[in-house]
Amino acid sequence: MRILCIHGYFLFFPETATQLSRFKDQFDLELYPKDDYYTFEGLLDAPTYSIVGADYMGVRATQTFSGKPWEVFAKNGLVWNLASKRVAFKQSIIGRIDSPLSGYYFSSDTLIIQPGQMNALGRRLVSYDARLNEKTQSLHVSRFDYE
Amino acid sequence: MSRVLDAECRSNVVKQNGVEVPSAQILSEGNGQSSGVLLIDGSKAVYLTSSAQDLKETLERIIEALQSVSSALSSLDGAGYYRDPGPSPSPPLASGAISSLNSAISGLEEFKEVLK
Repeated sequence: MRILCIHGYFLFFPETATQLSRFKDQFDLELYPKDDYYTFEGLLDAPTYSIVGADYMGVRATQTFSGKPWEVFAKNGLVWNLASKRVAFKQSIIGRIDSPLSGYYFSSDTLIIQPGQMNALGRRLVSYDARLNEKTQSLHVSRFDYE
Repeated sequence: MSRVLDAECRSNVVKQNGVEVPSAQILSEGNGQSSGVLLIDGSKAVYLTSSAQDLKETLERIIEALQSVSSALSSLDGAGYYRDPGPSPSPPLASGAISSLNSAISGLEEFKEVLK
């Protein structure tokens, strides 16, 4: 299953129905269909606009902007916090990502990487494109994007 | 992707759901209280309101002013101020102007009722 994290917003692209059920069993998380992808329940109704000073999914928006949810996330410096299942400012995310290169991919021990973490150079991860292999319980990341 | 949201404006301050939107460009004068829409497209925010109420009130004031002028002229004409001096009384001199004013008032009244 492809996992696309764009500016802290998660999009999942399962190839088979069993991938969805396996994902639920493995992470105790259900994915819900939206447009042409699946996402977390908490992201289903992510507003496509923000107004500075107004509430945006539980935080105070810093920008007035209209666009795709991940564009609104990017503009406001937000990411989805996997632990709290809420949006958070990316500066509030503590953690380090240090995925070693494995062939053509970066291999990650963490099967869903938290965006907002820093790499060894102190750059903050905002997006990544990865493939979750349920059989081998591994995540191969083909691209990391830092701010 | 643009969004259209209900908004209001007063004294050049646009509010959406009670929250000020200082970045909103106001396409009208923005001084008086108004309701309208906030259009957000990317980082651009624009406030739009209907100017029909402003126009209606303007027409009402113009009609009132014209009615005052017409009334004043009628009083003067009736008192003989605009009559030709001479041995015999002449018809009221301002009657044509009064008639034109009344016609203009009627036209504005009709226009006010069919504002889009």
